[in-house]
Amino acid sequence: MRRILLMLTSVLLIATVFLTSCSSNKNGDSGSNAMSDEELKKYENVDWNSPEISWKKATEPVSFTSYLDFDWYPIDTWGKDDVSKEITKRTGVSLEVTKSSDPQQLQVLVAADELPDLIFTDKQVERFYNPDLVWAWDELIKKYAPDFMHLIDPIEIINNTADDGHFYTLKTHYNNEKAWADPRNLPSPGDPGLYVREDILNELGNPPLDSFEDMLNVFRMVKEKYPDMVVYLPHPTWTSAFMDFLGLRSANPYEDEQGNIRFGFMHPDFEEYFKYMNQLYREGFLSGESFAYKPEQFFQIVRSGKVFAASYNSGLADETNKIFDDGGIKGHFVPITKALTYKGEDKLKIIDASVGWASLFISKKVKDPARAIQYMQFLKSPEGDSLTQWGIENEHYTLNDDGLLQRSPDFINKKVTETGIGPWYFQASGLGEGVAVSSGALNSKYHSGVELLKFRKTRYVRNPALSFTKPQADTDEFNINVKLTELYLNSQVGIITAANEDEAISKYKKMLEDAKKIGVEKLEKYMTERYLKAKEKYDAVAE
Amino acid sequence: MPNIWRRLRGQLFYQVCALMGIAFLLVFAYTPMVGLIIAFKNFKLTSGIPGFITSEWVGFKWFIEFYNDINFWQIIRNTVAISLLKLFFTFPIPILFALVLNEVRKHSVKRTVQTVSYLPHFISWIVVSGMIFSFFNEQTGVVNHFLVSTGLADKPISFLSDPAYFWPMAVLSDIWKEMGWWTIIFLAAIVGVDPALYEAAVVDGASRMQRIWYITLPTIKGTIIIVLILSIGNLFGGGLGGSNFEQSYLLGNPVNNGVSEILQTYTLKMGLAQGRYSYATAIGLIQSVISLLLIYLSNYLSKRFSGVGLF
Repeated sequence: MRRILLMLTSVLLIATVFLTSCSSNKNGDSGSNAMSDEELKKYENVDWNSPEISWKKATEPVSFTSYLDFDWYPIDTWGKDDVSKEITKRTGVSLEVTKSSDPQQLQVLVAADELPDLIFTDKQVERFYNPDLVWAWDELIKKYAPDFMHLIDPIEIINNTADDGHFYTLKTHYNNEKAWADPRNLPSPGDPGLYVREDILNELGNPPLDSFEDMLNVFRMVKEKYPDMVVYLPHPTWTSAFMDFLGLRSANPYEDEQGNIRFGFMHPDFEEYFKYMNQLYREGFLSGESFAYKPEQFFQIVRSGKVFAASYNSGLADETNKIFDDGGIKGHFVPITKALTYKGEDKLKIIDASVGWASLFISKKVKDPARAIQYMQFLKSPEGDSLTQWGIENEHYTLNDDGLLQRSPDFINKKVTETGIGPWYFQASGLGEGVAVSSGALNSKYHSGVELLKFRKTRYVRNPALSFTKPQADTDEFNINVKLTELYLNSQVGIITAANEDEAISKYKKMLEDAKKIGVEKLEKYMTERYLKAKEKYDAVAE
Repeated sequence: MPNIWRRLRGQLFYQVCALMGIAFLLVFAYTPMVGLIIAFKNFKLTSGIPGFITSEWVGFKWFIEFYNDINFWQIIRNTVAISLLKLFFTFPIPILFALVLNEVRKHSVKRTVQTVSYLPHFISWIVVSGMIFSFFNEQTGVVNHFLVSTGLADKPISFLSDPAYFWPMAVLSDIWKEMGWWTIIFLAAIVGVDPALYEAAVVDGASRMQRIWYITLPTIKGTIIIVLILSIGNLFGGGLGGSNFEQSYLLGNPVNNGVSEILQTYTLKMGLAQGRYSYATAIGLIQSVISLLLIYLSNYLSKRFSGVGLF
């Protein structure tokens, strides 16, 4: 009997110790040791420059594995460029970088439970709003960097808060109203632009170029005088410049006059867009094949000097003109820095959620979550922001009286792999990027993109609640969204390359019917509900 | 028993080779089949491997969703048409080429032709697609330049985007790339034909064509049938070349999507790229089941009409 009692007691003891250890681990992991909101208040006086700020308290060497989910990224090694070396010097952090080689790679890492410490992505980010996969930043902040919380813009927290009430990231390149109003700030350099060859326009006697109709007229003149030229070449994957002038986006949601959220290409003006593009195709100004090119093939043709008009992001003219000049190719592109009217109407309106771009997530597997969130705090600070987006002060730039960056004359010849300016901006501010872009006018003769972005800024309509219309991963609405995007991709070229206008309209209507079959109405209802809920949150903060 | 062990010991080298093959199949072909279970479950990416067991059963939900997809019939049509066209054209050409090469008496010519014809097999499809772009694109392609400058065409032809050209381009590029490689298989079979048969045929006054028809072809019939059955088994993968996915992925684009989208590319786009592994598995399973049925059917027909079969 005694032996049985002893055994039972032992088992009970072991079980108690085991359960206690488990529960204490769990508490530790979930951040229950975090401070209460009351305790957090004592950090309200800490500012970004305070020597007591969390990231400055721990700067011994630490290394994180990281995954950059962008196969176009210009850099994939830490510690070989000026900026990454400087980050390590100031914070002790270094990264073991893996750059994406395939868009599906990250999905496989998730499924195989092999996520690295840090993940930087802009694809399916809602899938990472999951406490089993990544740390909620609010939990880490309360526990390891309590002074960080009140340094973050409350609106930015709302922008990034998931349905479960936590925020798992802070998107890069966010601008609050004050930052956006800063005259140095500009929209993203990724904004679309339409470019024409100034040298050819001069030879044609500078015909008017104020409307879609004028553009058609100029295209006709070019076709006649330069029959061997490609009249208009759009980038195969970028937002269409003509769609942009009509204030349209194929996959972005928009609010209609009744306050309902509609899927991008359901906008009635798409019919006019397709009619115009179809006319460009039928008159031989636009080739169907241009939609089949890979991006590098697009650049190859533009840089050959045989293209009159092209569309891509805001940097196309400057990059191409430099290549023309270096290679002795005759030609000079200029952006169209005004809204081309359509049938007498100026429709250019850029509706933007303006909540930022890419997201950095801290994996649950991270060995040192404290240092990870403190590293984010450093990157988010004005010091980290200027270091990652502008470079090292007095080495890569000096600030002039207007708050713009003055670069040395040889800066333009330095490669990003040498300077490291840009790629390590996992917490970049929109203003930091805007200043860097608008400073381009000071430092290079190739700065027509700045003028384009300045003009575009005047047409922005910011509506952050739109970002909440995005369906959650693994829902029916998510699948509908994917299928609609695919439907547009597969239908648009068929509509544009139709043999006549009637056929183009008929194909366009077929696309709308297919969208209904796929479930666009269900998706729009879902998006409207989420939008209205999000709006309430923003309205509450505004009050 | 001792006899069996003694026999096995005598065959030790061959048995080890066979065991390695079996182990390869077990690890890379059979073990992954466990994952097929998620075709009938609502597997979420974030649940990881345990999700194979823990995710909820949804029956045939994903199969029904795929069947109801607005692109279903178009994808099936493209997959079947491209596969059949390739089988029809790419299967007999290596046999004919092997027969022709076998008749070439000058050894150096035979060697050179053989080498030149099988070299493209070693070029990856990504490089081949780049070459196709360089040769055939509308703006700067050599072929279009030639056609227009010689007056054979009024204006450049949209080889890369006009849907009418995708299937011919797929078949022709596949023939160019894989013909030489498969010729080696058939040439090897031809080399195994007993020379005495040819000598006897010559004595009997048989012409060259008669020797091919009555000796070479019947003798290599077994090889032809086996390759045919394997090709039909991999019909949806692209037959001999197994290149359907690569071609549709690399040469397909939004312009020719209506004729280039096939089961595999659709699985990648709508399944894997979106993290919808259950949906992707269901589509893949449909293809595997059809391929299995095709193998049995082709084997049955082969045995029935020629007496030769794989199993």
